[in-house]
Amino acid sequence: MTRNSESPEREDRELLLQVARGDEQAFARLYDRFAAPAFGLALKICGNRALAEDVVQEAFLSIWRKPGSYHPERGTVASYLFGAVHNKAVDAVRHEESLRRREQAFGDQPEESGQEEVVEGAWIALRRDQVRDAMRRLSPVQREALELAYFEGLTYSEVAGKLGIPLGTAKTRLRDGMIRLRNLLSGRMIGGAQ
Amino acid sequence: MTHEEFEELVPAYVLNALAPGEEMHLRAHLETCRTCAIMQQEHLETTGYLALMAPPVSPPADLKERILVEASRAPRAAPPPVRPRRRSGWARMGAAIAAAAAIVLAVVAGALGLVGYSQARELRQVLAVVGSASRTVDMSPASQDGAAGRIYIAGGDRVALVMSGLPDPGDRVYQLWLIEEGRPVPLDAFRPEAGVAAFTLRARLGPGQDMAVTLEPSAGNTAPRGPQVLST
Repeated sequence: MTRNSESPEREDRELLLQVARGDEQAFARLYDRFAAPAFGLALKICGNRALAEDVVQEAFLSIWRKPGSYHPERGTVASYLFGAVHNKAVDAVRHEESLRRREQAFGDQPEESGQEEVVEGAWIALRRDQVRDAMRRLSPVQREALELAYFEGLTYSEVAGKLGIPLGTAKTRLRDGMIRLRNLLSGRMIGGAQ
Repeated sequence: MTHEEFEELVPAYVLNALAPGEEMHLRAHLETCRTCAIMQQEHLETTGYLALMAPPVSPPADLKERILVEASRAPRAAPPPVRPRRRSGWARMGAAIAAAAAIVLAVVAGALGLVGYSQARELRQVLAVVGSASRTVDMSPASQDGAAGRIYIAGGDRVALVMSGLPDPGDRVYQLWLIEEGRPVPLDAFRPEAGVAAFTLRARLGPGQDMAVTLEPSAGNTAPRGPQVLST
């Protein structure tokens, strides 16, 4: 959270407060700002375009329908919005596991990126670079655990099962990975040597 | 579960990596534990970055239109009022039923050594009955101590019972009775957690049938011995 990202965060907050007051144009601007990263996240987790579209739709509409559930003092719009997307994506994939396996078996692969002109807020691209850099500085086992939990939608006990490690170890790797990631992103660990 | 054990689960919770039963249980804990709530907020911020590890992909143009059309016609909830103080049994029940059920299920599951999925299924059953209830019957307390109960009746014989404000039974136990033509039939015995208890059962509740909750020295009595706590 460097200084030059404060202004976009403040803009986002103001935008979401307008959305909370029922401003449909603000809602459209919110969509424009976050749709591509939101859809990318949903697609990576769901592995299926139709499912990802439903997830993104439900996430944005849930934000529109429940204006009181965003609390600016509790976090950024990005964490709130991506949180809604992630939640619904994981629910969807846990129910659609067999569908996804069938699709992959028949070679119906989702069209991943390879798209050029993706429209998103410029500061989002900056944050993406920051988190990619930070993720590289996690230990391999922490990174692996986070990826399995966050992007594969596994529970921590499923992560433990998949890696053949005790439950406590899975919990610890996730916790330590998250703490380290947070420290790196907030600039507390200058240089970030492992 | 101890506070430390809850704390250990917060990062996984924020990653949506808990089993449904654990998630409900932790959510209930988060309502009362400031330390864990702060930790949750901090970790949530990190996920706002983690989400960006997925490459952005532009969704189809008609998705935006679908969403905006739906938004312009969807009824919106007004921003919620400040949460009311929990004064009476009814005000307490007005708060999260899911949290209440989760606490009870956690206690029962702990006693029986069950974990995870069976809790989630029972909780879903309570919520399913509550959500599809065609009628409700209120139970009144025998004294003025703030106990309250509501029976939710969904189709056929599916019933859910949600109670709050139950005093700590100590080493006694609460017992639910179905009263048919004046004759009490013992149903479930239970212990509340933080004064709250919720579970489902199968029973046909029609005219001439009542329910009552008594405080018994032990479960398994064929006739009530202890004082009545709630009744329809």
